[in-house]
Amino acid sequence: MLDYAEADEVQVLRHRLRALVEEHIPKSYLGAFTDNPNDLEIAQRFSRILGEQRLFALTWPESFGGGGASSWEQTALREEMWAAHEPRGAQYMGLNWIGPVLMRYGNEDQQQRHLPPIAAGDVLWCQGFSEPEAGSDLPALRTKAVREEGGWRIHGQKVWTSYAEMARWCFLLARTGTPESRKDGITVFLVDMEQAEIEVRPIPSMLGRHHINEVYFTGAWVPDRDVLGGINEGWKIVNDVLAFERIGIARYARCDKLLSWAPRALGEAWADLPQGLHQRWAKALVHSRSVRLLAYKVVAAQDQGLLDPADAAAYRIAVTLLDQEVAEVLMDIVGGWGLGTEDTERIFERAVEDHWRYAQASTVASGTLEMQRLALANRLVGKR
Amino acid sequence: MAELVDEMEELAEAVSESTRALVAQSPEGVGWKALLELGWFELAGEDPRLATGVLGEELGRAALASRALDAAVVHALEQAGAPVVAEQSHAVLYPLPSSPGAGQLFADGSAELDGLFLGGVEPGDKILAFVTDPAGQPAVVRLAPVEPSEVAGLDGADARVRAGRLTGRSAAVLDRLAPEHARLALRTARRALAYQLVGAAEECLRIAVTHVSERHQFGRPIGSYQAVKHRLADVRVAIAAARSVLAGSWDESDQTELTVLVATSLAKKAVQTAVAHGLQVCGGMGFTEEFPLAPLVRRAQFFAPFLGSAAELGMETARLLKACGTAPRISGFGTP
Repeated sequence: MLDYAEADEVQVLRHRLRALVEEHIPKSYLGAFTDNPNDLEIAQRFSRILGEQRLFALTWPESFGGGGASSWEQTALREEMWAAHEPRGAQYMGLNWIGPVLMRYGNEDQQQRHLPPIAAGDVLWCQGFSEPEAGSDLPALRTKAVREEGGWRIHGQKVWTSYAEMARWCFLLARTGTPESRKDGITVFLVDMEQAEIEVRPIPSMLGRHHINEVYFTGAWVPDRDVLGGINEGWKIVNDVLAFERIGIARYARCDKLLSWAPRALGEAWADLPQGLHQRWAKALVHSRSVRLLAYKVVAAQDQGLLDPADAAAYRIAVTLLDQEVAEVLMDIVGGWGLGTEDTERIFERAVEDHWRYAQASTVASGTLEMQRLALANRLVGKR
Repeated sequence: MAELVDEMEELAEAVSESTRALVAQSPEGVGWKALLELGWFELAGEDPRLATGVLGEELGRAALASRALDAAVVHALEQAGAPVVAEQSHAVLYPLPSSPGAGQLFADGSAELDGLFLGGVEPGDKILAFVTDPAGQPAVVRLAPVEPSEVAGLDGADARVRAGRLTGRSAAVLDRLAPEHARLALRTARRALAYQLVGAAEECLRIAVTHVSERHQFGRPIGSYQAVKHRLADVRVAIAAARSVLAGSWDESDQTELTVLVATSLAKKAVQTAVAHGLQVCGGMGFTEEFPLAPLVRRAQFFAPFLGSAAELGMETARLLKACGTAPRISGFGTP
């Protein structure tokens, strides 16, 4: 029997985080990546504040600038941050999976150079995986690394790269084997983004500014010290990365917050909503709470080193579908004002509209829903 | 009989072609004058179903701004003997989403307005408005002309719909239409809207089919995978459902609003299904502004709550069924 009653220290942490959000994050904040550059500044400042209080890399060892906390405290942190529209900005990428992957596969030099800046909230990372012709079929990637004295030259193109414009480092997959080598010829490179041989072009999209980019590599340099793991051994790292990435965002926390907020935000108008909408709202809230329990099951299993990848996939499927269910219910609840009002007084309506746009992308980003379902189903029917 | 069918198909094709040409030539939207020049009102006099259907679907595909809803409303009112003349350019003020009317009518004959125009307003336009009367009942009134400068743009919404909001004006009400004309106006606007939504859904499906046929992963088109095919099939089913009830809504023996209510609700469902599945099967491309889905997604979102969300239409359907005490058969399922 699992018992998810929260320990006192988790409760204390939640209150502390809420107080920090209350103090430093404006009520109208909807994430770091809006047209207003202040939002990015708010996120960067807040990240440093968390870093100073060792609340940023909460579960990391103290030697890397972490807080040495439990994975339950980490879960509370994820929930509180996501519910508050992620005031850490793009930092979750470094925290959630780049850091943990460096701890597992990096050498001491790499860990010493890269982990403390992430833990301090000083540096942003981006992920160079997808390519125009390698999306769901990631092993088809063609970005090439060419051997030279002391390091590698990168040539190729990545796409859908979130935060590439502001990232200092890129966690890049490139081909070091033959063109046909697929999973067996891929290596991970840690690439310094500040060089002339890298060009970032933002892609205007419904997700707003800074969200997705194309990144062109025309002979960018990576010294040998920034090759992660062995040459041609990148694929097993990728699998770990995706497992971390897929359970790293507590999407249910924002769903729960927005649903719980709706009756207050609507005031007297709440009672006038069609009954069917009240029922869908209640159902969505129940789904949101049950997905939270599924997340806790995954956290508990991961904590004991017993995480079944099928459970991780099931959680990912459930949480992204929840995101979309909640988006539809909330859009219907706010009626016309979900269609993109810029009236800053209408905080709830703007939050709902923002949630709707991101929820649409949640079953496409970091592995499509179709690929997640295939992975889960193949595991169930024994096909690898 | 076969000859007649052939002739009707030829006419439909000719109308589609000229409508497509008009839409293609009108990136800024289709105004009243363009509809007059197209001969839309004459065609609507002869075959309102063909005129409304073809224009609505083509506009829906293109996600253009237009006066098509206004034109359909004014034409239907003129035919029914209401005091409006389709020769004159009209603009209709619609309720904001979730509002029963685009304003409140007071006992002294004045009105306080808050509503939406679609497709812009031009100087000299005759104005019709869906409002709420002092007893809380829906009504349609004719208003004194509005200056385009009085109409505010709608921030952040689908800019291509060229919606404008008229707020707080204590308008001079010229007269009020008969209650049956008010009902006819709403029914007509909803049906014209439903055709646009079906057109938008069709276009999403067309874009999705093209994409999954061209996009290869794992060495084959992604459209060869069942998970992708199933989504496309679901979109087609949703569109077919909306279409068949829309066709039935023209049946003259069907004098209730029920069919139009159901058709509008199904059309909203169809376009939302098309948007959701279209975005999913087009992957990251679907979210970019350079890809043709973006304007359709915005249009679907803009219209989702317009003239009643699916939930509100459902409530209205339930009220109507309760009021007639019987569930009328929705006719027209056999109509092509």
